[in-house]
Amino acid sequence: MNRIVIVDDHPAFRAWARAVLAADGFRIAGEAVDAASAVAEVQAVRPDVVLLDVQLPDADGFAVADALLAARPRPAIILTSSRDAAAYAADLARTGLPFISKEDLSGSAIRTMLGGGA
Amino acid sequence: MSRRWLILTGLAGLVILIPSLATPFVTGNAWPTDITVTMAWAIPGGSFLIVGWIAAWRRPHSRIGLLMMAVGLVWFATGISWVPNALVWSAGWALQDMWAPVLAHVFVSFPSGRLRARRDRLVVALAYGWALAVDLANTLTWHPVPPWDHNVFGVLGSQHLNDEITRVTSVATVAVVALVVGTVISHWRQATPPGRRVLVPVLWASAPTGVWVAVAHLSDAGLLGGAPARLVTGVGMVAAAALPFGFLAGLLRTRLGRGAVGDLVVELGRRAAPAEHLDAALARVLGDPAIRVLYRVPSASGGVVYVDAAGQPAPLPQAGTGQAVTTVDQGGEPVAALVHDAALADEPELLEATVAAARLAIDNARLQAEVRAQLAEVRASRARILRAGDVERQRIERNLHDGAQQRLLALSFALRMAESRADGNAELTAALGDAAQELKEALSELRELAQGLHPAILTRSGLAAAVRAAARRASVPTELTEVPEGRLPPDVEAAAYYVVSEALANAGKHASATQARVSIRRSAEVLRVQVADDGVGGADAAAGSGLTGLADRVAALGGTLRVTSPPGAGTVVTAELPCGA
Repeated sequence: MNRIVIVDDHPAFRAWARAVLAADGFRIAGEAVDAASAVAEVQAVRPDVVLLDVQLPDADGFAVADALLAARPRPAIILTSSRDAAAYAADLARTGLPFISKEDLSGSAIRTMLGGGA
Repeated sequence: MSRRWLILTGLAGLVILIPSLATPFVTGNAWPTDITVTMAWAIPGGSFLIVGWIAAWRRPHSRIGLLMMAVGLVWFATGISWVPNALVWSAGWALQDMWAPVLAHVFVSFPSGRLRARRDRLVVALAYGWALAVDLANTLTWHPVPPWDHNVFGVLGSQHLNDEITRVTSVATVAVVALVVGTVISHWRQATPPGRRVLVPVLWASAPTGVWVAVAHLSDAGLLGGAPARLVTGVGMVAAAALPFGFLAGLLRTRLGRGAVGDLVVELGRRAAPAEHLDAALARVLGDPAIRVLYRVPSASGGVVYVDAAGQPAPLPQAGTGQAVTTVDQGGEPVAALVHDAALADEPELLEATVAAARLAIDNARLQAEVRAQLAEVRASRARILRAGDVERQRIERNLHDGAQQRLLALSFALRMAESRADGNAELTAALGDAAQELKEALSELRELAQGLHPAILTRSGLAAAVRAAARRASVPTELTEVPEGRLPPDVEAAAYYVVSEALANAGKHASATQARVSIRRSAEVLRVQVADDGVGGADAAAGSGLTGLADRVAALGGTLRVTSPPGAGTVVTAELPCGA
């Protein structure tokens, strides 16, 4: 449970997430900058976890999540955004997916979510 | 046809009529000297001529009068058979039934005299064609016996052939008559109330003629045994004579409508009639339940537009919709338009009299409609301004989020990365930590600014989620008793949300409340938003506070905002927003 793909169009966030997650023992299996490349990347590298930005340039993160959940083996998905979770309350309640705000990102927070969700 | 021409044709008609009536007596020709038969012949033709002439005089735009005069003229054309000359006599006999298709033409085209539908034109063409064909067959085969004169056109066959032709064609003629009657009945069925008012007397008066035509032709065909020919003829003549009076009654009936114009004057004078009553009064007077007055008022874009009594834009009806328009002018400029049943267009004097009688009421109603239209426009523009403001705030919020907030966030990640790499350098670690902390606060302030501009949660997740978040964030403990889940129009969601967040902010900031309660209830047409707190009260929506802005926002959507805030007894803010589909 430690191969992770980071999906976000902001390079600074990807760099930060790489550093934080690698420091906490995750292996960065791949990165994607939009919905299309995210789906391709997940199919190619079959990660355990996808850290998925809600606002991608070409699609809504929730729609991407629906597509990724169809992949086999099914990865764990954690949504993230610079807005707080309340902004996506309805969609989060509907999909039941875990969410972490970008500012709070850390390897231990992710592990807690995976442990709680699994 | 101008009235001068009508006077001339009237005189010409008399010039033809009088000698043709006098001819039999002058020439001493045997048959028509029977005065009853002569009258039975003269009265139907005479009534068509006279009634047609009256109709043409009263309705200069309708052709019906001319057509009715044509029936009379063709009828009397047979009279030339009293001239003692075999050729003229034969020609007169050849014409004897040609009035019938002209009469069918009158029936089918009544009351305008115009054949508007394709089906009507076909029926009339068939009537003319059939009458010509029968007449031709009859004329070429008729071999009269003395005392009749010799038929110079009777060049074919024998009288036996003629009898056969008469027998066969009579049945078909009844079918053609039935077709014409069916057409008139279908006109009646399709007619609007004013159209029926004109048609009804015609239908009543024509029923005896229809029966007579059927009886006469079935008798000719030998299907009725030997009905006494003279009786059939006599009854037929009386029935035919009654016919034009049916048309006259139809026309007189519309003339009677003018009496109702007086009632209109009385009715409009009695009440200070608002615009809506004017339409109802006109509907009663003119017998047209669909009638309405549209008013020409300046439009917001600088042009002119027609509006109804309520000030709502209403286009004038197009041609072919069964409705017609009579404009009401003032100083050469149209100020209003009477939209009425097309059948009423055949009664221009009635419309003119009605418009004249209602002019003052129309003027008043127009001013009223103009004010209402302006009010509606102001309301609409206020709602548009509000919406434009919301769209702009939403845009700025998105720009802040996508731009400044993302850059600051990137900066904070960079700082935290630098901090994690400044191993052992305590001073640098502390400085970077301070910078990261500053930045975190800046981000938080920026997020609150964006949130105040437009809550992303509202657009993204709807009112219920946004209100729950607002209640959680509020500085006063807030209970959410009821909130509808589904989505509402964005304007309504925004107004309801701002009412809740403003009222909760006031409860914390000004009212020193210890708790607040929010309830949002949706009924079929109204969203009722209520926020109550237990603070010091004394809030005033009119005092230029945030509540005033809320009241404006709510009013722009056609809703109401009520603030009950007695000093020392808490504040209840209640907004009712129309949300019906």
